[in-house]
Amino acid sequence: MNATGPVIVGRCWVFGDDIDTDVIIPSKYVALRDFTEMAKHALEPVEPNFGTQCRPGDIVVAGKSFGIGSSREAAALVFKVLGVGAIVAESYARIFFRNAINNGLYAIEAPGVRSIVNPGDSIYIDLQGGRVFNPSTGAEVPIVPWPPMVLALVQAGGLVPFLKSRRGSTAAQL
Amino acid sequence: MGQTAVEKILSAHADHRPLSPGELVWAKVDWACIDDVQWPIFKGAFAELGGTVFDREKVIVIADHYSPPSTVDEAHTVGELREFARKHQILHAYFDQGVKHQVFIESGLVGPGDLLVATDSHTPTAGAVGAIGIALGPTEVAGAFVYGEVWLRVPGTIRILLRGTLPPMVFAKDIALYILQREGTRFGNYRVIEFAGTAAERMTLSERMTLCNMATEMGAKATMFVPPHGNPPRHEGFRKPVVSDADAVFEREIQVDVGTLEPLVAAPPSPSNVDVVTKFRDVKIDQAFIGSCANATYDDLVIAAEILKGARVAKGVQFIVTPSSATAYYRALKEGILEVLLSAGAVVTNPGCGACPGLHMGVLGPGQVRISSQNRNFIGRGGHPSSQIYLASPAVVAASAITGHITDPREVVS
Repeated sequence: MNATGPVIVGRCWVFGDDIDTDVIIPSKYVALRDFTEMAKHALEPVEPNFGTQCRPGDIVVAGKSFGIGSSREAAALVFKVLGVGAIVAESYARIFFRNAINNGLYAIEAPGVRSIVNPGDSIYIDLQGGRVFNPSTGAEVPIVPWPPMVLALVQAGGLVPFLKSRRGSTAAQL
Repeated sequence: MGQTAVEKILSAHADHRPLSPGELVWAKVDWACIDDVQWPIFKGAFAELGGTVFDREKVIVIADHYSPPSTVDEAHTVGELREFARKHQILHAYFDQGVKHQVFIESGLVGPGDLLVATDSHTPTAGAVGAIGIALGPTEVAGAFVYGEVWLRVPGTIRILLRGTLPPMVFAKDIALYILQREGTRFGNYRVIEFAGTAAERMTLSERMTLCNMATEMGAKATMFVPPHGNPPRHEGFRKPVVSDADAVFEREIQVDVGTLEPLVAAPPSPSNVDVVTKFRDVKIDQAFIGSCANATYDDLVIAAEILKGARVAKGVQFIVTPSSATAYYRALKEGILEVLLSAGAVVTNPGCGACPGLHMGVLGPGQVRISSQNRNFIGRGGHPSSQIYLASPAVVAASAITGHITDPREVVS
């Protein structure tokens, strides 16, 4: 999904509060140099099938402090490798959030999202309208808007292309 | 209106205009550090951004998690890191010297007023010497290696005022666990935690490092510690500490009377799942671990040795000591501390992160239980997802090693 598409649609995997980076990708797999192999072990301690059954475009829904713990960027990278369409959490730990947007991932904050989504549901994330919508129940919750800086970063495709364009022109100021 | 210490330091690293919380700035860094764990992602981003280092004297390369490597992939990664340091003639490259947070401070690199970014969540430990240490991922640190700057949102500051005198066998770790028990793991998210008050002013460097380190588990983006009362230690004396103005605005103040505290333990799977040590008497342990950037300095090894002197580790318990730095290791060797630990039955390993992240030198099997001086006890952190880590001070770890179950050190030391 690119930034011009205002709506992200996908099948949901649902997780609880405080899903930490040791759970998202345990240290022994972070040491693997093959990122595709590493991603097969994503969320293994709590959902052993996730890494092999997550399909491109699937959405990860989680509770509070998603990504709490270490600074391992592998915890964001595994979702990118698996082609996850978006992450929607009640809140994020700050290092994970930065790592996610730096990888061009849609890391969306939507308090209350867990109460409107069941595992396997398909949901709509309406970025322009600022809401997450579950068509099977009609329920929706608002999205906490991103600051312009974050939007610019994700729209650029992540930090590396953002930094390159910032250096190349004066347009991408803070 | 006054500024907090962190607002002043960030202002000095941005465009020198007085900054307020919430502002987004590009800040020039004094130090940027890449480590072994995050190297494979760093190297791609660094190459894509042009592959040149902005200042070879201001970047740091360190191998601490994989020291020494225990898999072929780890060895490959550390080999590439060595080659990177050689190729770019990086002045500060550390291999097998210990955990970065202790190495930064004990080597005298990072000091008051500095801005440090590193690919490690416990980078806020640098607040112990009055530096801003911010943890970032390797893609951002690659940007800092190339351009010498990072984007930051100026954080608000929560001040924790510590007063009173610690009772016997109660330590900085217990203060941190108490704050986690009371306030949880989220209250510091996006914020600076500043430690001040009469008890803070009297703390040793080792104690300050423990508190600042544990602030990561409180969610803190960075920490700041009030300068020590009286003469600062040698390695902090060459730069003037930056302090918050009397009229600085804090988001919140938290008061703690450390004189009322008891030895505490955090049960798995969260550092905030805390209760008094005596509640965990029935927990039998397979392993006791003194190590990690939270609590394995020279001072911590001395505390353990005082409890273990003349004692033996319980049958069936593996007691592992991993000094946080080569400096601590060597001093403990020279002063007979390691001999006390070895005589009690400890396995003393090379310095580094050791068993803490569950990679080597003490990985836990199914259902195994560790009492540990480390900082986090998440599911699977020590190895198998069914293994369990209980967090405590080095004194509780040492006392538990003797008895074979989680033990109040006041019962062992009369």
